[in-house]
Amino acid sequence: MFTKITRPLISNGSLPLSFVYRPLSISSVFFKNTPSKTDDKSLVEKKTDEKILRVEDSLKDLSSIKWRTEHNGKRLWPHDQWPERDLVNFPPYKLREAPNAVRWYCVPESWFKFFYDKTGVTGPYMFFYGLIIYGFSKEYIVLWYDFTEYLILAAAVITVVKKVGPMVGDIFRGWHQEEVDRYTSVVNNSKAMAGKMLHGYEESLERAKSVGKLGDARKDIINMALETTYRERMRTMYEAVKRRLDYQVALQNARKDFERTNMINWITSEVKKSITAKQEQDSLQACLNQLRQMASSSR
Amino acid sequence: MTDAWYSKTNETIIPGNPDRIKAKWDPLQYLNLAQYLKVFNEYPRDFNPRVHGPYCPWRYYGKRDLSFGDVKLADVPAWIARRDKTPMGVYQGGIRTFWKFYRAYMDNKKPNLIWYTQIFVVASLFNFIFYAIPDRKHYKWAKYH
Repeated sequence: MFTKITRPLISNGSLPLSFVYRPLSISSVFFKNTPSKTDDKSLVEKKTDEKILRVEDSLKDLSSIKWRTEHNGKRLWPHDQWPERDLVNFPPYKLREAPNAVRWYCVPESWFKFFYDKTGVTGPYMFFYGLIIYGFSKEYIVLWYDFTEYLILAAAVITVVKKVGPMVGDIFRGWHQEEVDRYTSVVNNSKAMAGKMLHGYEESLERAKSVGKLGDARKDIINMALETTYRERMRTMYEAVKRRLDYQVALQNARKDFERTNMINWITSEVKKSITAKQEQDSLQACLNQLRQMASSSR
Repeated sequence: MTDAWYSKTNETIIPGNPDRIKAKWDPLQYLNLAQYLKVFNEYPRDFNPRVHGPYCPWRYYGKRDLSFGDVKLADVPAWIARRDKTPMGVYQGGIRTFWKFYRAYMDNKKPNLIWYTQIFVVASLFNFIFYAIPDRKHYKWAKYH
């Protein structure tokens, strides 16, 4: 309780001591070299401490790098400050595609190429077979009873590696490529999304171009509708007028027809009424006499 | 104001201040072995980044000389005399050999385990020549070859 109150005062300097308190934690070991406290009351600007390297110091070091402006009478630009760079003999680094070719899983091809001029194609083969034969003949390779095991082991290892090797390599490379894709897919997917969005924007711009055509089409549709209604109304008007005129014509015809039939019926009825019995008998006798005459003349 | 354990100035508490970062990425860094290996941790004397570009540890940056395959048998002693046989030269040659091996078999897009088989074969040969042959001298079928 007492130390909780007195420690800040001691660190502040308001409570000077003749001895040093035991530090509370090991952090004091790391913070031992921090600069000592300054007087708060001083109005003078705080001087930078020499031990602590601040950001301004690193900038100070960088400022010593001066861009060159000329070399061999030629102007040097900020993007081209290395005219002495020898790109022919010391080309920049490039990641290789495949490892060096190898025969029998351990002998590099460069050795075969080196011996090709002097011994031909079979040189290195004869060399290694000759080594083996030399080992047998001088009994450096002792043909003891465990030799069969070594032969069978070699055959088994070679068959397994030939069959299983490429598959295992592909599997491992696939795992590695998956991990790499987890990083690269981020950028590639954002690129693809950006491309899709741009495609959408292009489509909307094209649609914007066709808005004029759409308006014209709508105007055409409306004009056609207006024509249609105009024609319909004209037709109805025509039909109405025609109906009325047909009615008048039919009326006149009916009147005439009635008059004619009425007149005909009246005339015929009057005539029939005016025919007496004597006229009828006289007409009948006259017809009979005519008939007798005709009969006698024709015979 | 004060840089005490309970109060710090704004400069010091800015995150990422390298002067206040006391932690290291790897436990081995706390031993600070680089101070003892400063002799080995320098570029070769003939390396000039303005001419050679970024440093490639598999390249030799001295005067160009014939490779061992192109030199004639009569000039071999002269060729050996021209080589840098100081300890530093030998060390740099070994480093260059390792980096050439690494670049030939491991630093590519389709690595395989041939580097492992090569090391296995060389180790097996070493063991065969220096340990297995002496062990099997007792089992030879003939005394004189």
